[in-house]
Amino acid sequence: MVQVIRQLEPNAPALFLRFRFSKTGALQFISHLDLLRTLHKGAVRAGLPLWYSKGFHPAPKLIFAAPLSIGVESLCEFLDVRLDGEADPAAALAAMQSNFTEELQIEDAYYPQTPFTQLAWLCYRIVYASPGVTAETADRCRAVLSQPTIPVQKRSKEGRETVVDIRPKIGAAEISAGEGTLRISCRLAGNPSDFLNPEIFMKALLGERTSDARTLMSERLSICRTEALRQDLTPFR
Amino acid sequence: MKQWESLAGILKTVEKPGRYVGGEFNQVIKDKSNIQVRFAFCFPDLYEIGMSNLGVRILYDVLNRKESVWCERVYAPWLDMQKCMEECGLPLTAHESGDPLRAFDIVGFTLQYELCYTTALGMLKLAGIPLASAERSEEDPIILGGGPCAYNAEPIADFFDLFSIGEGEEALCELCDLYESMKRDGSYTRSAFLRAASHLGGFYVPSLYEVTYKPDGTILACTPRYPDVPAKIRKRIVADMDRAPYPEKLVMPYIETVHDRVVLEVYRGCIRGCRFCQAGMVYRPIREKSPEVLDRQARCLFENSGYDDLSLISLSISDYSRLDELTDRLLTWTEDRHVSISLPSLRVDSFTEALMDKISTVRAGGLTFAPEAGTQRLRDAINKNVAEEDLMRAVDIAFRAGKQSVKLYFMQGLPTEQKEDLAGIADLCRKVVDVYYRIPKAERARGVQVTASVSCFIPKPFTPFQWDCQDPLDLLLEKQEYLRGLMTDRHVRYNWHDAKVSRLEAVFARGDRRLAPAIRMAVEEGIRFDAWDECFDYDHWMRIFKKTGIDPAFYANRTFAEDEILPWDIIDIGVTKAYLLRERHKAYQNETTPSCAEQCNGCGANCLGGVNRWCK
Repeated sequence: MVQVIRQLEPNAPALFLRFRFSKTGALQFISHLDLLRTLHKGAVRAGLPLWYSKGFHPAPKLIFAAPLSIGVESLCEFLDVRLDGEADPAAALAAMQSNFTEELQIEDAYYPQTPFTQLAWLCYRIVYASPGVTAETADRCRAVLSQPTIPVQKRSKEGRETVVDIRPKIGAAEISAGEGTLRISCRLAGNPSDFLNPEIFMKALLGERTSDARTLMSERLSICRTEALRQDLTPFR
Repeated sequence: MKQWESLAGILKTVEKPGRYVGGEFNQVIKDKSNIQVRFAFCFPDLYEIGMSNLGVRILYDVLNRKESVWCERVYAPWLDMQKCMEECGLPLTAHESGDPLRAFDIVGFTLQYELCYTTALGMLKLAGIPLASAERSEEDPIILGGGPCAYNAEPIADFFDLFSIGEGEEALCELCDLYESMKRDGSYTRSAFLRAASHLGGFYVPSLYEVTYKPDGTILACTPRYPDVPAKIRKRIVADMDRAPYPEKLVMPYIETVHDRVVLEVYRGCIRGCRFCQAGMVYRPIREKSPEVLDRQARCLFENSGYDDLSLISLSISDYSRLDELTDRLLTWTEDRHVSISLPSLRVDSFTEALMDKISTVRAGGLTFAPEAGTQRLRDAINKNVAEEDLMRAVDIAFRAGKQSVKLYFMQGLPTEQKEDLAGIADLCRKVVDVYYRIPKAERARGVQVTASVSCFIPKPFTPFQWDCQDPLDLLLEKQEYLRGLMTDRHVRYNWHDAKVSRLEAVFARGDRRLAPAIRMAVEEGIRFDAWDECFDYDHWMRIFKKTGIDPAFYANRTFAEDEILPWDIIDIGVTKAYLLRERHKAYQNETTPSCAEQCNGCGANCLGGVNRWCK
């Protein structure tokens, strides 16, 4: 159990403790909703003084900074957990760390100064290993990026097809390729209201991937979120 | 290589990749170099079903407590994943190590229901292990079966090397010890091992018995091939449930599973003796755990899992003799920790207001009762000792406590059933709705929904109705149609089970070894997941039965003679055949039998021993 070091005054504003964590390996295939349940159970095991909503279905409050698609790893995820009383961040961190596997590492815990709305950019490291990749693949990608606009077909939740220009959402991109391996470091829009999914970015560069199982097994696309930045490119915390 | 790495390329193309990645918190990882017995525990259904299974949770824990054994989990991949794996030539692997099934010493399947047979054999096929026991070589793993279907495993006897009969906590450890010692002293061969296993007690090795048939197709004899092989296999039980091992930790699934919660097994067995119920017979004698032990286990599991839902399970939870004491103990800490308690398997006659208050303190939900039959006459015949007044009293309590929905389970096609019994189902539902409307508006919730879920009777081995036939398919369908015509109340929703599924289940339930060619052909022709609506193909099965010369009616729709040798007579569950016959005859006289709590009815299960308060 993580001790409460100070009770909250009645009507005090909601108190959130922020955790920074990584989500790698097997965890990359776990959806947003399942990750939420996983973190909740871990927080219960850790004995955090969780706040629960009142009523028939008491529920805790856990909020993520930015969505992460299935198949994307991350070294910089942020989770805000609402607490019922103030806990020592170091104690909370230690308790949380022992309740997850190495693929879900809790790196830091602190009371946040910055709201999630100030998260502007997310950086990714992308490695695409495929027998079809040559030095020319990198040129083709650069050519796409040098266009003034990069229109991408997008399907809305209602199923309507729209065309979106993703060029303004690409902050920077470095591309290199050798025989069989394409490497990209990029900075993409990361604010929930203006978000670019790195897979859509890759689709714009390389086109639709095959759905043939055997070809897919011979390739490897790994995408890892490495850093979160504010608008002025200083680290988000 | 980790499980997810070996599949990485295709994981994003399949539905719910979280099923296949492993790596869960609390999974058991061991150093292979110190392991003498590698045990693959296979659940022949999807991950989210298998992860919820209490038997797997218990035996995974029991086996992994042994230093020299490493037990891993294996689930059936869904069709999309199976297709990808076949295309890429990827073999079925275990969750913890990612090693192929072929690399294991013992591959054990828990057989929870008959319709998992094709899925189980499909897993062997995907693993590249020969299907038939006789086709396997010294290098192949030993294929073991267990769980409820092992009580009549004859239809799949050709595919399994041996079956564990009864409770596995002690038996599986003994089997692993035997394997380890025979490997160590060099005496291990498949046949020597299986022969030795048949002496352990509780293990059935089908290849050590010869079954012969009479011209009319019934069994002439089932004889051991060697004098040292036991003529009957007595099921194993764990004598003292308070001392039985129970997991302290749970492997925590990342994706949502069907019963995503802490499950507390309160007792084994059942005092009731409903005449259609296999579980009520094969899990005897009744053995309870004490509230102190249960409370300690619940708290430990909660702290190690973080689950906010605690389910108390057993065949009939309200028959637990110390239920009040247990719930009171649990409620001292569960409310503060936002943990809700649920009690499935409630009986209407022991459902009280006080109990209702306890379970509704934290979370709301519907209530489910199982009257099973529509008239008192038929309820007496099946020995479901539930009176209509009890049901009405129970739903009155529920509605007054603000419940809006009540679900009622019934069976159709029960032995001795008449049209008025079916009409009784509709009447009973209407009366439940009436109870709601008789409650003053201010004291009830707005709106009421009664759901009648009606399944088809399937005669099961080791029940008093094991000799009785299932209604022919046409009659089952006609009865469903008749009942649908009677369900006119708009507050009553009528659900019925697919009669064709029930028929196939009846064939397997009372089947014998001659079904093997059909099951094999089904697996070869790609049949899997028969329990899933989207996969079940009755016509395909009928074509297979025709091609293999099998008459499904011989198994499903024939009344077995009382002096006939039954395919499962080789198994001894403690409860005697004489008792089952007595019960059958009473059924036809509409006579009830009191519960074990009232008097001992001499079923015979007490010969197995066990620490309990009911049988002496």
